[in-house]
Amino acid sequence: MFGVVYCPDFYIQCERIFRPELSNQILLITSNDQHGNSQIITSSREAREFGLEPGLVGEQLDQLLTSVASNHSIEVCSPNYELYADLSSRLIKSLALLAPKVSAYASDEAVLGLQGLKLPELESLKRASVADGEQNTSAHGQYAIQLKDTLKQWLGISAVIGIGTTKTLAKLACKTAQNQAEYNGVVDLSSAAQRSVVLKQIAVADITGVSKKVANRLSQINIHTALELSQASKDQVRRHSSIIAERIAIELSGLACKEPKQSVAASEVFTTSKQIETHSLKHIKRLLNTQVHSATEQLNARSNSCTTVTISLAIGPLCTQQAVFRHDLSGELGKSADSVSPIRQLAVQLLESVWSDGYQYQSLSLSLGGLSAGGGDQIGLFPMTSQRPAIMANSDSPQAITVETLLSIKNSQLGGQKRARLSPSFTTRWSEIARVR
Amino acid sequence: MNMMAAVHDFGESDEALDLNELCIQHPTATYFVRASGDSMIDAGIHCDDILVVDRSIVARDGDIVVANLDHSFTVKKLELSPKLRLIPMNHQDSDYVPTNIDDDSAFEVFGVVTYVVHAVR
Repeated sequence: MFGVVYCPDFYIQCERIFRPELSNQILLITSNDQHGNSQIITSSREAREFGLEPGLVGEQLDQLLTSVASNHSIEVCSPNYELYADLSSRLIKSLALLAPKVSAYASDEAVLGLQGLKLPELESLKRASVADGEQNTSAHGQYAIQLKDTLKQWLGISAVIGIGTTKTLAKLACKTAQNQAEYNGVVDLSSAAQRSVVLKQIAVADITGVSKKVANRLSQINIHTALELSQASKDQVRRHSSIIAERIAIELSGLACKEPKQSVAASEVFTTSKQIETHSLKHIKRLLNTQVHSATEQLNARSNSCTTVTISLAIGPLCTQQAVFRHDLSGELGKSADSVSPIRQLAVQLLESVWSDGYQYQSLSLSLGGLSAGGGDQIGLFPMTSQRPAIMANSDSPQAITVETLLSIKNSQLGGQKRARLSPSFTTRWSEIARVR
Repeated sequence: MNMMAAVHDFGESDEALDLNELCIQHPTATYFVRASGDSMIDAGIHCDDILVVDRSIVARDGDIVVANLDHSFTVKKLELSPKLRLIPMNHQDSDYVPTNIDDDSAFEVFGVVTYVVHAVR
């Protein structure tokens, strides 16, 4: 059994933990694009109701802001990556205490392996749920509700959780929990009955890993919903679309795919934040060098070696689909490596190829993939290459190591640039912790 | 040199007392905040003291809590019965009076104060 935990509007939630006055407010997190225009990185639900969507930039943004501001108060912040990185690490550490296995997929998302969840606990949950008259919820569903409540209490962060017998199902459950408020943040697809209810409502194109092209081909053979895909003849699916679609179909029917060659595995993500002087190639290179060292350390700690290196530079949060703008590039090492120098050489080459001057990059990430422990045959990374067809591996060991750094410019360097207010670093600087009366 | 080596060994050990271990039972759920004012002076909380706030503990009657009341933070003693109130603790200043939490106030316990860090000089 698997669980996927996702924290919607993570940056917005982080800003609100220590600034309760911002709850229910129109809140924007903006930064400057390459021309110095402010751009929305992420916005609160209240803001999106007025069309203040991520990606909105420049004059268009200014006009909308002016019109909304005439009747409503609007709070605009700069991204405080130091704060987000600390809360992300608290999130993952908390999950590690509450679930048998955790792999972080992004700063705001993690996959839980629930095999080995203590059965006595589950049994008592089951009894409690029967007593509450909620016989429809399985023990795993009850566990997810408790987990969600615990995260809210411990961190002050609201999460949505999906449960399923495969990672594909758990991910789909999580997406459903996010999009349909009536589930109260938890969707449990462990039973066949619940699966068919939920899968019926999901269009094939909305499944992670199904491209538009594949969705079109599937519609030609009358497969429009996730339920139809899960019930279709797997041979037919493969003939009309791809092996990837076939595997998604198998996972949707509740059977985990075991063939490692086709699997795009989980990446273990380490998120930190850093203030840098400027966005010059020289400074970013120095940062990349640090990342190479820490990723190699992780590699050595597991006695692994890697065959691929991926660099991502983005404006906006990485990994999540919210990135406003990003450059990705992967390269193959000639042979598998486990030491700093060949990895650094390739990483720097990749960085130089994706680099463009003038962008205010907000995150840099380095991924080492094709880890030897998994056989060295993996075809890519999840979720770094979310545009590629992806299906998740059944194995629990991560098959890539990702070091992600959230970048902010040192305040002294801002000069005359127009910049929104930066919230205090409530959890990482003594001088900035919250005041209570 | 042998003695140096022995001392070095001790220095490297993990046996040293760690205040974090004493004050923080649940690191992922613990936040720090700084007190303002003197409304809680009888509880040993002075202006500018740092409060260790554990969010994983369920607040009981009589606990000192950081609460989010009408969208701002306050530190007070929590009274659950006979009715929900936040009690200041300063017997010298009669301006401080308990706050009744009624149904239409936005109220939430942010966390339970477990330790106070007070600088004496």
